[in-house]
Amino acid sequence: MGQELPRFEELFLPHLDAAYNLARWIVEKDQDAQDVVQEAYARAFKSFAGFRGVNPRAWLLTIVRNTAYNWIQKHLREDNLIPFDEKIHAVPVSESRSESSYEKRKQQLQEAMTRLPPDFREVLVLYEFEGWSYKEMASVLNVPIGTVMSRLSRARRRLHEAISEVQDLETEDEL
Amino acid sequence: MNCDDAKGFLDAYLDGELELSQQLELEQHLSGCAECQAVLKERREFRAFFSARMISSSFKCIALASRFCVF
Repeated sequence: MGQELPRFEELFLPHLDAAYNLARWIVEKDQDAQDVVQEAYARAFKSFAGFRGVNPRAWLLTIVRNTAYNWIQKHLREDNLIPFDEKIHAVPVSESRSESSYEKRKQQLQEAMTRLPPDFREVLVLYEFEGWSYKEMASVLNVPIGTVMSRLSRARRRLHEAISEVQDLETEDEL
Repeated sequence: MNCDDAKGFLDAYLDGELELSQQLELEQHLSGCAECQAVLKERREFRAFFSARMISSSFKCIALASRFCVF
């Protein structure tokens, strides 16, 4: 195991930001995302002896994804939380706003993303941040390519609507 | 291909993810359908709007690295 550690670190620590970003978009909260990433790395290390892949980043992110969804399921049971529902979980526009339009646009997108179900956020992150192909997503998500196509398309439509909603709410607040 | 089918393919078309036969069929439909051309334009514009913001919205966590001293 001692010999595996340097190799593991070399292959997987460079992807820490990507792992955190994916976890953060799925579970939403910073501390939860950190926990998910730490658990995912521990799982990856345990399975590292069996790693024969040519794409450590994709392998790691698959583990992060699975860990994040397990985390959601676990906390749904533990906390008796209500499953995500757009009508229930629509997040009000934050009252604190940055002066810069750059930060404002960034905040609008993040708020709009929180209005989407996790599986919509997930395909958007994997495609837009990670540059995964439909085929790669289909393989990792274990769904047909047609499902990836429709899910990503619906995610974009829903995000478009959500951004408009956020912008409308901000406009109302400013009046 | 009808309009509903075409609209279902537009995002994958912009992503360059359609098979050649699907792409050709869609382009044939688009060439004669102003409504779907307008939807394509709208989606292309949203794509540009969204992608620019998405990249800037990547989350990072400096504190996370400190957790990995256990490895």
